[in-house]
Amino acid sequence: MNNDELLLKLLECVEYGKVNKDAPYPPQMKGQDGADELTRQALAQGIKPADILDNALIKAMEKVGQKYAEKKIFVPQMLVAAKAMNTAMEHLKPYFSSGEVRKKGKFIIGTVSGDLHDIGKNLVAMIVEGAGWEVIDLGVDVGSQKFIQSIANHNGAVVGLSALLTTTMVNMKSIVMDIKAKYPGTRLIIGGAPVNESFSAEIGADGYASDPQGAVSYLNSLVA
Amino acid sequence: MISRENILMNLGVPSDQAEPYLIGLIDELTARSLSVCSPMATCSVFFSPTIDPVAGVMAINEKTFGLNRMVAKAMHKSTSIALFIGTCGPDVEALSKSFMKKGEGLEGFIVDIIGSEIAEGVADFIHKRMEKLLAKENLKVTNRYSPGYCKWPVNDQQVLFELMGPHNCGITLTPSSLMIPVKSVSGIIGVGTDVVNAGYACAICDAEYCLYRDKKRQL
Ligand code: B1M
Repeated sequence: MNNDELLLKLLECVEYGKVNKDAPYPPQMKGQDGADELTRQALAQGIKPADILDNALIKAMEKVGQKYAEKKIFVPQMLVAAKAMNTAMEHLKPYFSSGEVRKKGKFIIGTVSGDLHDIGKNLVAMIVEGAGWEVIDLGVDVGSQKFIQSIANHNGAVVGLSALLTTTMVNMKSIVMDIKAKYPGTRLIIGGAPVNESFSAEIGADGYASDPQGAVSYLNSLVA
Repeated sequence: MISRENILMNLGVPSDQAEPYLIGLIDELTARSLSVCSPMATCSVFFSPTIDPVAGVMAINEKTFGLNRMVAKAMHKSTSIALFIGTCGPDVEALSKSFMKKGEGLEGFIVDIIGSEIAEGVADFIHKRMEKLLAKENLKVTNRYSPGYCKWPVNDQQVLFELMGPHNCGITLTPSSLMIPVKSVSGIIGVGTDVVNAGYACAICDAEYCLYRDKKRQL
């Protein structure tokens, strides 16, 4: 396969969630090389890591996001695509450390204090990571101090707050205030079933996303 | 007990568009989750509750619940109140987390949904069992309600757990009144000769602003 063909094949693997050769999904690609093997092959063939990232992986996830928005695919297909993407990314790790390629930015995410719900937050983390962002997941029951400490360690990171209860969404307000007081330039996005756009505006957050893809769109708009 | 349809609905996949691979994965993970879960429930019946449907409060053994008017109205004619706590146990949650940790988000998400279904199934089991047993004594049961639903503040879980004493299935409460293990459910069921199980709760709930109103996923 020449370089272009290889990148196209890799793009297809990520788009359809073909993780590696042994992966049974998707059935129409059974027995074929997946994102794992093809990324290794691309590097061995001398394709620049930045080309692999920009021309195969990121493009694939953009297609996935688009198809999800058009309701042509659903959360499960998004999650397998993110897994294929992250498998490919593992091979690019050394180039991120060396600075040869860069992620789109850093995203700190946590479920706010008092709240233990993490599945929604985990899905957001996984899909944002799959879209090319470095994700710092602080877990559940996270208060202002932990967010502030993490911002100190990850200069310029965007912060995401998640909540599932009406009783804990109110804690978002003080966390947003505390973060903005210490780091006024920090961009903050909120999400979770009980919150909405107007609540986001009311508490002084910069954005709201109803689902993981919405969070990706918001983040990508910051680096566009 | 675990319905494939419900899992697909919670995954956001229309059942007519579910790929065979997904169906197979759901079935496999359901079997695996059922093999590790430890469902458990406890229920205590308290006689002669004092219920004020106008103020929306209920007192049992001198402990007061701020039910809100809608739940209080539903309980109003009860001659006794059953409090229950049920759980799926910690292991399904742990299984979901272990998938997530390995980057297997789809598997983790499906197992999380199955854990919720098991917890809800335990509550359903208690409810139906009570209904069946009490019918023999010509008694009926109400809908079941949980602290946190229908404008009933979630921190009343503290009162519920106090009344249940040691009969708590090993579940503990956080200061924000959530249960650990997470896949747990608590609530109340009214009992009497003159009460009704009205079924679908949104129809009688007055929380007009509720975000979950009439959502099919409502639990
Ligand atoms: C930063 O940017 C972003 C961007 C997007 C972001 C984001 C961040 N974070 C999330 N998103 C978004 O992307 C995600 C993926 O699409 C989404 O994340 P979500 O987290 O919203 O979605 C998850 C992927 C799936 N959603 C869920 O898992 C929650 C679904 C509902 C139906 C639900 C479930 C399943 C359960 N529950 Co319960 N439960 C309800 C929920 C009602 C509902 N319809 O939402 C809710 C949250 N529960 C409630 C309650 C009260 C309770 N529950 C309880 C129990 C349970 C089950 C065990 C049966 C089960 C599992 C819960 C769990 N945490 O694992 C109890 C508490 C459990 C505990 N540990 O203390 C109990 C307290 C009831 C009781 N007394 O027993 C209600 C809270 C009411 C309130 N005051 O807010 C509730 C709204 C139900 C209701 N009808 O009223 C988006 O919101």
